[in-house]
Amino acid sequence: MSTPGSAMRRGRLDLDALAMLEEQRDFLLRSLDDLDAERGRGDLGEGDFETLRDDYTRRAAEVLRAIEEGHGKLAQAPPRSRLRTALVIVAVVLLAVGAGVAAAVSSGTRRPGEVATGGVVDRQIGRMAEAAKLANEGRQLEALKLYDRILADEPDHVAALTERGLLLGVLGRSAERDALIEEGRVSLERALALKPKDPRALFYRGLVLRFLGEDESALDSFRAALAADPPPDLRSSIEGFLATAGAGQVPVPSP
Amino acid sequence: MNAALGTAGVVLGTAASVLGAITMVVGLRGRRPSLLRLGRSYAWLVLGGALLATFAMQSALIGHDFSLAYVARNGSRSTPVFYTIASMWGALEGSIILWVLVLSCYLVAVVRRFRHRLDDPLVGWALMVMFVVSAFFFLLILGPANPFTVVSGAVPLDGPGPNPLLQNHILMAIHPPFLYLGYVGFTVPFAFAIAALVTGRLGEGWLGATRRWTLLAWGCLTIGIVLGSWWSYEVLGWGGYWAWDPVENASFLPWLTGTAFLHSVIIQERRGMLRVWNLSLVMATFSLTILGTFLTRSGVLDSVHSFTESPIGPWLLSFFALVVVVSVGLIGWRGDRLRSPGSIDSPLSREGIFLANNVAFAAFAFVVLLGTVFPLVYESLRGEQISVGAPYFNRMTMPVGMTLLFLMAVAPVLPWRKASGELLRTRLLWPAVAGTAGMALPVLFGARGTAPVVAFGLASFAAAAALRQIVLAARVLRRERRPVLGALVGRANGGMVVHLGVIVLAVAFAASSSYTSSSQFRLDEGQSASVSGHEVTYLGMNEPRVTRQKTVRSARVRVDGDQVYEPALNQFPNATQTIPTPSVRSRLIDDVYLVLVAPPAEKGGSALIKVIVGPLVMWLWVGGAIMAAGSVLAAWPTSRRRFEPTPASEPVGAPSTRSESDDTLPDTLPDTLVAP
Repeated sequence: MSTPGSAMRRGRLDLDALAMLEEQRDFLLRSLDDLDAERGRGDLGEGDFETLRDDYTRRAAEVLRAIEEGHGKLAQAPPRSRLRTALVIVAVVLLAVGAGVAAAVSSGTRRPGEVATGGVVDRQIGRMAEAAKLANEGRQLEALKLYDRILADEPDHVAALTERGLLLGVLGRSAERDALIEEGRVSLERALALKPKDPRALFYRGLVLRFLGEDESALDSFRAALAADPPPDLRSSIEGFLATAGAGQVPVPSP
Repeated sequence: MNAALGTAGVVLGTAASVLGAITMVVGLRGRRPSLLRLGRSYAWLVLGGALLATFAMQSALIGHDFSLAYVARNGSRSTPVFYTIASMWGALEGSIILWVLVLSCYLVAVVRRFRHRLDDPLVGWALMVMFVVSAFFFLLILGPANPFTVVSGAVPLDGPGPNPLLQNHILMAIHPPFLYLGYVGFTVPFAFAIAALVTGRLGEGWLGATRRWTLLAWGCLTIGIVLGSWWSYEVLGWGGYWAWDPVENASFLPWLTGTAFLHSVIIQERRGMLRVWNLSLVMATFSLTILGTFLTRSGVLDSVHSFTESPIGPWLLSFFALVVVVSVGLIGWRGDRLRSPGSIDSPLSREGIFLANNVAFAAFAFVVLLGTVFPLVYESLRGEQISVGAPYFNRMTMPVGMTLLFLMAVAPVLPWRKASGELLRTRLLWPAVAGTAGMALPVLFGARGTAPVVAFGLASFAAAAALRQIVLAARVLRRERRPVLGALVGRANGGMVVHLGVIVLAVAFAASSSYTSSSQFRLDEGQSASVSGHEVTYLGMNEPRVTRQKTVRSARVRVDGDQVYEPALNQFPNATQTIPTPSVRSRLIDDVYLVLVAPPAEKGGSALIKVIVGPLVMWLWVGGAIMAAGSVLAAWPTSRRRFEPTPASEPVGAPSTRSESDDTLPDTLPDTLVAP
């Protein structure tokens, strides 16, 4: 079986074997220290001490010789070619500068909801989710700006028109500014012009109409929303609002 | 109950990881094998903690325990069980549980694999590093990304459910675990690299010990990336599969450096060269998995300011910095041992081409990394948010990709050390003929554009070179009366199968990104439109399908007068936006991809339908599958032949006889069996 020392002696530099030899060296040197300590404490007779010490010393010397031999074989740093170093530096700098310039040329202002890199074609889903999140967090103005960005890119985006309409209505109601509520209604009417039977837009229009005090029209809109086959969660909301609206209350929805 | 159980699991995992790391250090410093062998017990405890945390989270999700904030934010009674289970990795905190679960499985697997070497310092230090990494991720769960916090105030009766996009396709449940198996798997070679540096055992021992682990991680990452692209194609409805967005880039970066490592490691095994480079690549790969997690999970890509608000951003960045500093420090400390004993004799040699391949992969990774972090750097310096568009990535990576295809063709046919002109002529003749045909035939059939035609030519060139290797290997096996199928097994031959997968994927990528056509039509019932020779006829809408999970409105569209496809729009509860589900007719030649952009405003009205015809798209997934199969074949154990090693610094012209396994047979044997 080949030992680390024998592998080294065969002429090949084996870094694993060299490391193991160094471990052996540390072990043997520490053993010699232990031996001295045991002798000092009187745990070891003089004869045994000498036998063991000679054995450890011989093994340590052997290992140290092998390590020295190994170190001698460690590759020396080859003389550096200045030209090659310069060429490598130039190549790396060129790549870095070229890539940097290309990145700068291909970059543009990032709008809210857009990703930092890449060219995802349909970013509207992410932007809509971001706007809804902002509105839920009470950052209505930021949400409003984001809906405006979505509509700047896609003026007929029904969901954005719808959400923007409700958001404006709620903002106008809390600020007691009918002009804002009216603007919300316009947004919803635009959505409904594009998609007349959109249950969410019909429902939101009902709410905005209630904010404006047009209760009868609001109830009509709620009923139209119910008739437009809304998804289950929206249906329960409409029914709830229809009931409270019928009772003369106007709850404030969260956009 | 779930919160208490989960927290107990996390505490157990953290304690076991910390104690495991301390025990390893004490055992290694004091040379106490009994302590080192204790690593096995700690590894099992770490796994126990991770399993307990996973069980608690799944129990909370499936049992709709909305007292847990994570479930309240990501769970819903209307979400099907399958997607409920998958929602564990749909958001930050749950995904860290998956991370520690995978890491603890790797930890136990390493302990099992090296059970007879647990008192070996190399294994001891590697386990110590794995315990430290495990402790870090458990601490993340215990601290800033705690998924077991309970809601304050009244417990909600229901939650919004996972992001609608994450519950729209089965691939979303499969793709993240594969990605994590890849990401986390690179911890093993990283841990052994650190162990090799600490112990000074910088020979080829640690490479041999980690070869299959690296292949496993790389294969899983490859599968994860391909499945992610497939999901993007099947779900997002934009007809593409790769958009260079930060999440994709984050997974692609470690794949690039990992691929470079798989190649350059062969040079170290063969010639004892590139030791610093290999260590650097392993460290870079692991660091990039942490950096990628930081980029995608810290919120930094939304804005550098949101990074400071992120609960885990500073932690991940600190850990990344620690990994880099420790890695660079250790490499510097061991610098005297890492010098290469020889140099590359000729650029026209296997090692010369491998080096070029590594330079290309490094350049590729640099370009992607720069594009990904450029918006962050810019915002830090100028305070303005920018986005780096796909054209940057396409323009910069295309030439590198072409170069890699060329190198893939040349490397397998070259011998080690030096190649003569005559040898090159002989071995490259048929691949060159195939390459020329690969360019000429598409042009004859009407293909246009320099880039795709060159890509087809280079792909044919590389495919012929890889097939030549496999055929020659099969001939040798037949001569030796061994099973010919062995020509597909082992590192060299399995590597050629992986090359074939890459080539198939590259051809599909070139064709689909260059020749895709797309149109949007407003069609009345019974009306038809034509795109790239395919006729689509809108037949009308189906009745809306209402379930607790979602409301689906789908159109019926006949393609080429044949089968009817049903692109749909999904409305999820608590979501304002409708999510499209495209319907795709996949054939070997092309895909007809249908998206219902807008359903009719009223019954019987016209629908807005987008039609995308993408050639050879199916071959992207086939290529990915071939790559995955190739990884398995490359890692498959084969009968070993041992040869007396030759000094790594042996001069050119000296008789060459070295090799240590069938993967690295001597040059005197047919070149078919040498590594890729």
